[in-house]
Amino acid sequence: MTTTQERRLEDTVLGSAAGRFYRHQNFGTGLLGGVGLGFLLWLLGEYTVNNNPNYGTDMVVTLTMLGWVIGFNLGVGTFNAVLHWILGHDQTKEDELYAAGVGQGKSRYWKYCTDHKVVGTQYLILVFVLFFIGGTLAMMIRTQLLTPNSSFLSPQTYNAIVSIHGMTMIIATIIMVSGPFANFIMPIMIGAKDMAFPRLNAMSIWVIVSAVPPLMATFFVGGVNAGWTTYAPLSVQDGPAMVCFAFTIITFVVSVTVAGINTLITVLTMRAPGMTFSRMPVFVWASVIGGALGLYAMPAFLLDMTMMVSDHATGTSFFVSAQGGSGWLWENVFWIMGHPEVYVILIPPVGALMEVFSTFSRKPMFAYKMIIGAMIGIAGLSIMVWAHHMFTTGWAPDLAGPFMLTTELISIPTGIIFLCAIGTMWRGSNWVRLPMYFGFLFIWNFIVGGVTGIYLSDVPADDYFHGNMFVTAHFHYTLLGGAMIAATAGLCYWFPKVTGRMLDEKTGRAAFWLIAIGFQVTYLAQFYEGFKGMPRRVANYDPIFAPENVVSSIGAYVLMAGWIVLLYALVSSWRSGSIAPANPWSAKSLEWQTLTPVPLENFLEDVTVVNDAYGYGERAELQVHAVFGSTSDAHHGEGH
Amino acid sequence: MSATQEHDVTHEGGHHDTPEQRDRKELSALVLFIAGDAIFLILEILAWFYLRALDTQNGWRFSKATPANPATSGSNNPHTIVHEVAKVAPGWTIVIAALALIAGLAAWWAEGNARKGVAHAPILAAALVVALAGIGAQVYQFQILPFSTTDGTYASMFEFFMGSVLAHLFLVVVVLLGVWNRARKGMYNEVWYQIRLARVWTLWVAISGIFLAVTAIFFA
Amino acid sequence: MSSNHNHGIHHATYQSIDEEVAPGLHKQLHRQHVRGTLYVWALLTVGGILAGLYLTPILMPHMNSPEGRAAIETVKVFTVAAAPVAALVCAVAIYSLINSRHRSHLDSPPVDGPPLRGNALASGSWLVVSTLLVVFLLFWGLTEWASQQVVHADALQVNVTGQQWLWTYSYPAQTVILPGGKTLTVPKAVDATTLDLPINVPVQFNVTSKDVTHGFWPTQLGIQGDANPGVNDVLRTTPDHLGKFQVRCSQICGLYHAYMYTQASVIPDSAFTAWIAQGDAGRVLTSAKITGGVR
Repeated sequence: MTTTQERRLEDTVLGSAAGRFYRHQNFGTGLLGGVGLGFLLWLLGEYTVNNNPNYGTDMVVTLTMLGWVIGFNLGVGTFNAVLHWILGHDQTKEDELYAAGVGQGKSRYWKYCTDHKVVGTQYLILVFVLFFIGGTLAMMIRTQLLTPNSSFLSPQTYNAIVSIHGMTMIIATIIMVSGPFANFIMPIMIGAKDMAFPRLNAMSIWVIVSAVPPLMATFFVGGVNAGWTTYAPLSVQDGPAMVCFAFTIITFVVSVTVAGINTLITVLTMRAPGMTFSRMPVFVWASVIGGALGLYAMPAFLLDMTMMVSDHATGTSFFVSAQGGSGWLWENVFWIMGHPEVYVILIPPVGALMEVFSTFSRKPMFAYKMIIGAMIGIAGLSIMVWAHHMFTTGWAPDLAGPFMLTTELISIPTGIIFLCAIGTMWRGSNWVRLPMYFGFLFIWNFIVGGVTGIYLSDVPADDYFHGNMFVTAHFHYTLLGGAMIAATAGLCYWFPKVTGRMLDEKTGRAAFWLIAIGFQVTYLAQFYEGFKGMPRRVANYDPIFAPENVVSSIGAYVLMAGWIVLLYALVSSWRSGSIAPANPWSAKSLEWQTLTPVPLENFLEDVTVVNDAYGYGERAELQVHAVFGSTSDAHHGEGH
Repeated sequence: MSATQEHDVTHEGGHHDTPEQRDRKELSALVLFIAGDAIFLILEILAWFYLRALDTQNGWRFSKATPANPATSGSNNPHTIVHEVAKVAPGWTIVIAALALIAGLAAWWAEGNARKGVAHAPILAAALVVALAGIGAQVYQFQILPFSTTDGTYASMFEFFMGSVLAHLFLVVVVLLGVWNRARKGMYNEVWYQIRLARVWTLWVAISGIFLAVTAIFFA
Repeated sequence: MSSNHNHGIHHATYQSIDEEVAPGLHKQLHRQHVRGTLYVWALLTVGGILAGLYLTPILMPHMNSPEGRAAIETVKVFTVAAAPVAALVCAVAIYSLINSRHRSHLDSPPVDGPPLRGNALASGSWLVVSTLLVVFLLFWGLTEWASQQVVHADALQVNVTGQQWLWTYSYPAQTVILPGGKTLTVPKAVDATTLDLPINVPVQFNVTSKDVTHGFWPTQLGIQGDANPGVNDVLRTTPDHLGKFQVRCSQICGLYHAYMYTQASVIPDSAFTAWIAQGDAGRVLTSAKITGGVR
């Protein structure tokens, strides 16, 4: 496409029906709408329902949060497509192109934009913001725990920070790969022009953005006391902060559901000709499996949280044992969501990491079918293991055996991930660039996380380790050391494609070493705390645990420093790094075969897939993943 | 615009798909959404049975114990009266589920008519009215309940079911409103698959409503 | 073919290199790789096993009951069982990093690796070994767990009540017939804020809560159970070593969760009988004091 053509297009798009309200909607109008409607509903609540002494305040907060979420999304334009559809005013082609961001430069990143690459980038920035918030909270936790009787934070603030650190990180890790990369990269990988439902895609990002302020608002309305798992009845005892917390989750559930459906339908219906299921890159499989598992897990989250809001704002008693309720109901439904959710977090980054291993080892994926089977197996088993979080709760002790079985069974498919990783790098031409650094770190961390996981799966051992720092260290090894490091590998891998710039590898490697070492120090010390018997989520502790807490805090500072250096490398390279070639890693999958920056609709020619994307070292004809060009080739010829 | 340009620049949210392709995509998406909603429904019903079986401290259908004679014995009197929470009469619960079913069947009829190319907008209008009546009936049932939310877990679960039905009916109304309006404008004269989507969704809401009604009526 | 992709450029295939060298050399190279990896593997396995055997008892506290020692044993055994597998993964990763590494950072490797798309022997034995390991873990876990489910005919009843943020231990009046035929008598009910247990006497904890969920965790007894309001959670153990430790709350329970711990000790049964008979005025709290009202 020539510049003149582009200009002409932009003029048509921008000129048509310019000045319509929805063309001026952006993040700012969203804030305005959210604050406005939130305030209105708050006012309404104050004058109507606030008279109830037991739950009036919670009712008002519920209304305010409802106002914020709906108002923000109205303001930013999330519901425009729905409203247009109801009114029967289908958008013109120019409007659709406008919504896809044509001719709006960088401002389109602040808008409801249907281009999957813009949505992916918006997700990426949101993930950075969330990790920064969560990381800062983590630093406050570690600072509090530097000394046994620290009064850096009050117990209430400490609990609030622990809870919000947890939930911020859970939200961030759920979307860290399925947001940026399943949106930006995955459709290109399968040769699609966009996601199946671009408007739903844009909706998913803005809905999730509206979920963040309620989470932060919890700090200003008393704080959440009960940890990220918010076990009832403690969370029912909490103030209106719990309502805000629940609202965050309810909103988040909408976003994840919509995004999951979109991912699934995209892969089911939008693959390029020849992209059979057995040729699909592992990352695409991982996105699909993660999305499907999210679809299973999110309804349970929604149920738990709506019941929580109901207990708070209407006085029901789902979790209040004095009126027939039960904390076990909360715990069961929470973990029916919670354990699949762990794999919603883990599977997509692992898929991304497998792409990294194959590309940088210059070898085909080892045992491709097994790893896909393993991911499906993990997903299937993960819905049957939830009660291993509840071994010590007193709920159904007779089920300890079955849940021990399912939990330990899951280590078989998890082991296959290792088999495929080492099989792929075995005797490869291992090109150790930054993504590979993180890949190797993942292997080590995930071994530690996995082995400590089998201790915890064993009921007699869990009777000692449950609720203590051992568990904390274990899940940080799997989710931070495992999933998040794998996601970082993916980020470094796809950075040139997403930003059009090369990542500053020297700074990146400095960050890597800080992260790698800081991480081990932090969490090995926490394992030791757990072995010795230090409980989780305590603001102060017995002085016998002092030395290892100091070590852990110092490690955490180093770890955070590493992330900040990495963030610096990312931001500075994004702004002024050297321009990336289209395929800096000589990779074979489709996203590297198109231009950088990726044009609207991704490919200038039609794509036909002829082999899988892992033909490294194969005969020449097997090395070709896809061929380009079709009947419209002639037209393109004019443009070049 | 020339054909060349059109190929280069179309970005229309899948609008270069044929109606058949869009139908397939949107129906698949709806089926997935219903699958997620079904998990919600199953868990909701499981929660009902779980709390009913636990009956923690007799709290399923017994509201808080009150002292036998507060004036003389004070709050420490062990002789207390426990109030049993009244069961809801099945009438309105059945009516609401039936209204959702009627709305779904009407949408089905409208779909058939659209297929045949005969009038379908009025039938969709009727479906919309029926769905609105369902919402009205549900709101009315809230007014006449023989208990309040604070009367134990039976009351809590029952009202939760009602809330769930209400939320689903709201989505039905949104969908039927759009479909009716578009039908009224003649937008479904040739491509009518969205009526089918509305029918599938409305019927699903009816089915889930029937499940909830059966649970609430027979297992109080 | 157009300019927006570079699939036209192929890297030298592994085969093309392979054909140039003698087939025997290729096999020899392969064997060399395997041998090198095995050395690393053996070293790491031995390290892992030694760490499991000798580090675990140092890391974990001394335990006062069979259940506690079971936790230590489990960590030991599981570490030893997992060591060979974990070591293999590490060995291949380390070996790949050192010995089959493309040295230049700037350019992609000129030669691709061998196109190994799977190996039935490797995958099959991996599956078999990991399945056997899981069977072993499960067998171990269920055996230990079953041995802990033995209900003694008679056990010292201790009612544990959690509330924000303290534990109350009440010993109802009872006479316990010990396995040896001796008896242990609690003449009248005693409420205490510390947990004292006679050695070698089976104990049954009846755990509940007055408000929110707490986690009853007598650390060095190796048992743990939530204190749920409105529910009685039963835990059993037989302390068999004298010693002092702490009961900690293992379930976040609000503001002063960190301060919800009490002293616990396993004492000789003569000392226990003496204490329980007189009711130590300094330590015993009546429930009236705790609830602040009339019972």
